[in-house]
Amino acid sequence: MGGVIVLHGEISSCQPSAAAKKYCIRSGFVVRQIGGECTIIPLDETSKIKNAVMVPNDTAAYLWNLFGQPCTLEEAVQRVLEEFDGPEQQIRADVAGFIRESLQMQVLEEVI
Amino acid sequence: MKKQWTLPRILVQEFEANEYVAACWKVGCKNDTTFYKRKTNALYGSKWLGEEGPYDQPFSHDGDCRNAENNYFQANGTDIKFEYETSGQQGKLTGGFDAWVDVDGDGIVDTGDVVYWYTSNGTRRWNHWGYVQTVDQAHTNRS
Repeated sequence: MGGVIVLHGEISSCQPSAAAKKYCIRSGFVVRQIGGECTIIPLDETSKIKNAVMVPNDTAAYLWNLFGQPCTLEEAVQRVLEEFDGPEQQIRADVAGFIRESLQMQVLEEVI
Repeated sequence: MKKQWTLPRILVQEFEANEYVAACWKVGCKNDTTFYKRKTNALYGSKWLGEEGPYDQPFSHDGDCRNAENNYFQANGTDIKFEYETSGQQGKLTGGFDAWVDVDGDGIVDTGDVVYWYTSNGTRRWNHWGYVQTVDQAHTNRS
């Protein structure tokens, strides 16, 4: 990859250190299958999202499971490419967007 | 065969905290103290945190407290708060929650448990107790 990542969002970076960052879903969420649909329930009262249920679509549910373990953007993109059909550039941008927004919503956290 | 990639989205459905009551309940008063009979019939004895009375004039529980629909509680699990009673005679009576007896010992406020609470008009205090009655989901704001 040469350390160059082309993204639409703020995570876009040419710095290898940014690409090496690992992200993981914060504790305080439980995932349940309700009516065949993946449902995420925030349990932490201090969470930015509370008194709510979160319903991810298939790709968001896949990423949620993926980031259940610490994972870099690049690792996530590669795993998605193995599982899904789609333009790599678009997938990369979408995964980066997912990370960015999940960090903003304090759903995801950076881990060492 | 690989699945088709689509933009990942998470729908966040927010709701009011007091709608998150899985089981909703209500309570009507069973206390029988009166001006003449001042010993309560509460099955688990007196668990109120204050004295009822004064019994200085006609006093009874044969009023609106009997009807569970008039007693407004807020409950988040076992954290119970009494809000008010709508009384035809006294208007809106405020008060407070005093005790809960977990009759079946399951750690949940449910049918058959006993709740103690009181109401006050500022000069008189009525001590109430009653059995928890489970009601349907349409009463989410009642419990």
